[in-house]
Amino acid sequence: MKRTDKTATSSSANSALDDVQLIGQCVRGDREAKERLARECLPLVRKLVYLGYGRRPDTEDVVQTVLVAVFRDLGELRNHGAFRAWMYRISYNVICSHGTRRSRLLKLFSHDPDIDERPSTHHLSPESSTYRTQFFDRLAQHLEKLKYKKRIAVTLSMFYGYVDAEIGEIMGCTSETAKKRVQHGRRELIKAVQRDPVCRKMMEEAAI
Amino acid sequence: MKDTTCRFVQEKLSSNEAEALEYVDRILVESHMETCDDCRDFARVSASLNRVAPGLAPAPLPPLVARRTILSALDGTMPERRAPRRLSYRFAVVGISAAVVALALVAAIFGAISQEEEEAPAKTARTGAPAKRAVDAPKGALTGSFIVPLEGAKPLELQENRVWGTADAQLSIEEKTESRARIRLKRGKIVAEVNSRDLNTQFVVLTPSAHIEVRGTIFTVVVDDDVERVRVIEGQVAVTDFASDGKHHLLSVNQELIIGQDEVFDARPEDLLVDLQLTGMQTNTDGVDQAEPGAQPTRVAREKPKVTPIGNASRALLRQAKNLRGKKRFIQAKQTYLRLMAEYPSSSAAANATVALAQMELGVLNDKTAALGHFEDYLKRFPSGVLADEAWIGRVRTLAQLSRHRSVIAASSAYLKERPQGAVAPEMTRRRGDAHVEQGKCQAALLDYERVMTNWPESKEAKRARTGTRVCKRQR
Repeated sequence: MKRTDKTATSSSANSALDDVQLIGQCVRGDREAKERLARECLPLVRKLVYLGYGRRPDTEDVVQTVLVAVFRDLGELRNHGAFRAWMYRISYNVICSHGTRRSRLLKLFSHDPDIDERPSTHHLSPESSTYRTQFFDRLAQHLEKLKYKKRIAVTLSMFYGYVDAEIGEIMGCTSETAKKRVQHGRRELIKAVQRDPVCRKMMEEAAI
Repeated sequence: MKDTTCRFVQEKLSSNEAEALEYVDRILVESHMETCDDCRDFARVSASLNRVAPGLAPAPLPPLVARRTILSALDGTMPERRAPRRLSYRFAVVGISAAVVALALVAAIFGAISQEEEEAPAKTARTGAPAKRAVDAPKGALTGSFIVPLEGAKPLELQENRVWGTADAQLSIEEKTESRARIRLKRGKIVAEVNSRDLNTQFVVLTPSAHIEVRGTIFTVVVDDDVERVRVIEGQVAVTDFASDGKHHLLSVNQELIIGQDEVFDARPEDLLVDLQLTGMQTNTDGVDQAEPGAQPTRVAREKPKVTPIGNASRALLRQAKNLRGKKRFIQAKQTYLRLMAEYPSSSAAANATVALAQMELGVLNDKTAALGHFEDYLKRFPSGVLADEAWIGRVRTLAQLSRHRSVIAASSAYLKERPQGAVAPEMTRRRGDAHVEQGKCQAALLDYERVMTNWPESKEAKRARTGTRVCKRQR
């Protein structure tokens, strides 16, 4: 049995995205359908980017880049039913390329984590003060300590409910590799949460 | 038996299949957790995270921002965002630092140049502008502009070349690389022995009024207050005389040129003798004091063993090149030809080598441009040479292969005008006809073919002319 409950949860949450008809309308150039699809996609992409890329000054740019790429290449998607996996694959590629570029820049300009890791706050809404959001941010901070590939594998597994084979498909690797990434990444994350009393408290409150 | 350490248990609990472990693994994990608090806590946190994580999300975007993001994505554009302040500040700092360093470098370079110019009262040979003044050389350095102390028998060595000078000689080395040496003589006398065997190397002596370029030779340059002289002891020297409007002279053995006087004359033997003594090639026992004015110089130490082997050596090189060609080692053969042409440029073997190399380049090496250059070089240097006919027809064949039909017509017409019954006249006439055909001038082509068939009816060219005639008639 493979985590069917989580897969089912994510599937129901994103059922609208599985609407092949909606994607078909988008491909045909229906502006309204595109807007609707973009509205559905935006939170999913943001979540993956925030967890995979981290909360940085240019995180929203990465989200934007993913969305632009998704709508630019939508016509090339043959299997409309695999839209989500395809979108996450694009997100993964964009995150990796941005991450590499950013690492190079930071190496050039003597990275100061206290400044550069400061989250951008210009768009925060009142909801951000909720425990769940704070817990999300806290988890994202712990996730940032993992390597990109592990981070994204854990995100896809833990936050999106994908199984190893699907993660392997999205990340362009074998399911065995994906399994190892998930296993090691989750272990590191759980260890980090164990050592962080604030995070544990948040987790308990969020669970309630 | 599996090792039930904490690591093993935690890995099992971290996997996607934690809730569906195999029976054995589940027993092992559960039994370990009964005794290990850390792993129990790990399992608890893992379960909580699994339950909570799917419902977590980042703080939503304000509606207006979200709307802008969506519309931009649909339009395929990126919304304008302010660049991260810290990064741009760093870029600015780095940019300003780079600019300051660049300015400092430029200032240092210009400062050095202007300092050198201030110190140089003499004039350069070419432009008449103030030249660099010699400064003391750093110990061990050979390049740069500095006075080189020359004391007779102690020569200055520049790669394979040696320079001797009188005690009062003021010489500066302007450039010294593997392929090029440029020295400037300001005053006094030098004798230079240039032994470079590579065509691409250059040895140049600059005087206030002349540019002297040499290769494989021994020569003398004298700069006095009122006169500059160039004398050649061995080989050839090309002199550009700026005092005579940049006129070029090619000095051969025992010839002398006074810069500014547009006339080459035979050098006095006693002067040549003195030059040789300076180099140590001629001993002082036959010295200048004992030499009678007008007597032949006794260049025993250098000249006798050198002059005689030149012919032998050049012929030996030519033979070597031919052997290499016979063995189909064409690249080595080409190198040998080039070496021969560089070392003994005025020898007959070098002339033969020029045509042989050109033919090889045209035929085997398929380097038409180089072949054309060598054929033309031969015709320029030896217009009435033994191989002139070969060079003429080689040139025309090369031009035809390069599809330069107009040049073929011009070259063949020039040859036929000069040598209407020359050895290659039939082929030359036929090729001119072919070139006319290529240019669509069948009437002119037919005339040429007719001439070949009439004048040389038994030759191979007559057959080809007949074929050409048929082609022309078909076209008409």
